[in-house]
Amino acid sequence: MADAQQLAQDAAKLLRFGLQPKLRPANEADYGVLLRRYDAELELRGFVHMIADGLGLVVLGVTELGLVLGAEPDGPFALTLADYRRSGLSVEARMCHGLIQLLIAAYCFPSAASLEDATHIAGTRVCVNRLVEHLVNLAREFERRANEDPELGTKELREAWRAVLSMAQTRGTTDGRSAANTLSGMTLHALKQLERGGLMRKLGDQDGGSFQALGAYRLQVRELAALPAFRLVRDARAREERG
Amino acid sequence: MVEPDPDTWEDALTRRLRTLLRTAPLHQLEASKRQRGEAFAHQDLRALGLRALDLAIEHKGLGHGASFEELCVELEPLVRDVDPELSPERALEIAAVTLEALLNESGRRQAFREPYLALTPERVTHKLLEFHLLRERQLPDGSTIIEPTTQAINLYAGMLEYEVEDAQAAEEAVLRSQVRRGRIEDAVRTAKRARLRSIEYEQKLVTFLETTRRDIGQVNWVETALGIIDEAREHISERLEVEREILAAIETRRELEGTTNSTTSPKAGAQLAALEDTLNECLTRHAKLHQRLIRANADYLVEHDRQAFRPQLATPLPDLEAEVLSDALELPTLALAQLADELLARCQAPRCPPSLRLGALIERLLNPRRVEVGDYETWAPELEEVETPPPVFDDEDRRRVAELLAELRGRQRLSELLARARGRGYPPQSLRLLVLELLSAFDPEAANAPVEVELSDEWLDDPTFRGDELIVRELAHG
Repeated sequence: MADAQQLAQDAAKLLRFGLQPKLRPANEADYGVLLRRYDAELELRGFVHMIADGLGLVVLGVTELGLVLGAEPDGPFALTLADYRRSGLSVEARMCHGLIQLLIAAYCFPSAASLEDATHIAGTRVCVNRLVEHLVNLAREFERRANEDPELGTKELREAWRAVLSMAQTRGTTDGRSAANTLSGMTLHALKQLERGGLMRKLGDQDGGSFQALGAYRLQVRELAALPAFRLVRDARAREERG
Repeated sequence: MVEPDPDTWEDALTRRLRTLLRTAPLHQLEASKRQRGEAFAHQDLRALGLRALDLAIEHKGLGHGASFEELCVELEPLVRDVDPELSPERALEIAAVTLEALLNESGRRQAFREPYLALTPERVTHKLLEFHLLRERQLPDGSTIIEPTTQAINLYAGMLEYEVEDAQAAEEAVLRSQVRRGRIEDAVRTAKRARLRSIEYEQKLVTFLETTRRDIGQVNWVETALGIIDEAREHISERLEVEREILAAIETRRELEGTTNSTTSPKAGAQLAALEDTLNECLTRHAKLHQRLIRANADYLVEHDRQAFRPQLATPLPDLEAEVLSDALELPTLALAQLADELLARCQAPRCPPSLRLGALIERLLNPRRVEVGDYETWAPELEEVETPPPVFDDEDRRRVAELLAELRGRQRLSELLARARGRGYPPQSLRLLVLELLSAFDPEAANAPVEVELSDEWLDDPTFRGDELIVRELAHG
């Protein structure tokens, strides 16, 4: 049996591989061996989980493409808005960046059943134009149902769907590129980030940018995002209702 | 083939109804033709859909699947046979639409859901039939293949009412009798159906084992799963035995034909060979499945240990669209903006914090430029010493830049300024000076910057300069 030092080193190495989402066990022999050991050796698995926990990482599972890791929101590996967008953002832009994360997850896995699917099954194909259209249609539905315009004074206090509708008016730049602060630009940015993280694969540039959700994205959303997002939104609503 | 004995007409009707419902995606695809334009008018999308299932099953049978794109290419000739006028690109598009429909792409690849009326002698209930036809599987090398589900194989084989195990036994009984009686041509056809059954059975069993493996809590291992696995082992052992018997019978027939009729027709010989190949394929598949079943209990125990680590979710997962996204849209902008950081951290993969080692950076910057020494003769320019090198930028450059910046109203991008400067025919060094002037505004100690400059999120779109796009603003007054 390997001693604790060796196990800790192997576990840390596996985490190192897992943090490089473009690395595939099929192409990196050591990675493949460690993954098989992770599957078979209870002790190694224990070390991997403990080290991950100490670092603020969560082991979400394993797919054919490797180890899937998530970040604790308060840990050093968590993606923050400051890393995600370097320049200062307006409240509306911050809101939209958060909303778009929910939009993509909900588009790919609309129901609880679709989150329960096996991780070796690739997910749906998404493109920027369709996602933005979907979001705007949802916002229009709220607009249709709203029987009055409350005329709230500030942009910060109006409902998110109103902000979405007013942003939908903003067009991209004349040369066809999406300006960073349009819904399309933000959606493309989010999809590219998911692709860099190994959660999506890029299919092409058609329709504003086309991608496919991977099994790892299903794991990420199922294990790390779905329930907390549900609670975050529910609690925020409760706070608003209490005033 | 034995018709399953329906207990009551209600049972039989419900079963047939469910059979019928699984063809719904094909009919919906055909019905959607009208909205899809002229190119689809002559196509029979149901036929194309069935051919797509056939091809997916065929590839699965061969042991390696086909990708979405490969299946499109294989469907394309059929599309063009119907309408030779179509361009290959358009034909591929029609093939892709067919595959997407079978994957339920418009339903975002969720299961097809068909509501129906389930009848029993006691009462009538509304039920929902959920099923997939094609699914896309990820492979370790990052590629994907399209696979048929058990329901799809069933649908294609037109045998939805029969349990696959019964159908397999029945096909083999027929096959055995055909081989014995020398009806080889019929036997080849039966063997092909038996092959389809073996793929279907494999799919059924593997899906069961994978579901169990994925979530051991879903199945009671000791009471349910072990029973199913034992039955499956017995079923496969029987299949292996029968298949070996039939192969032996084929061998006997071949010998018989060889002794009694020295001029066996080449066609009969080829048929016997095809029969043998098909049966050998089934035999190999069943042998592999048998191995997998033998390992199943050990696999389960490993998985049991593994999943014991993972805390089981006590609360059911939410429907993200109806229960989260929709509610979020009703939140005030500020309230939702405050959740952005946590949503990002939870929805995106971890990010490795970049670390800048200042020492290494400075060392690299201070290193002398590496000179490439080739073993060829280099041309050395004649150099002349000057007292003071000529300035990189002259007064004219400074004047041009100042003029450009003085004209600035509101916000402008660096790329736009550069384009304007080029339009006026400014030389490259003036453009360089403009860029440097603007970058110097980032110097925290710089005083008297002529304009305000901030970073944009985009890349600079310029033929000469690379880097971040800048937003330039005239100085705020007061």
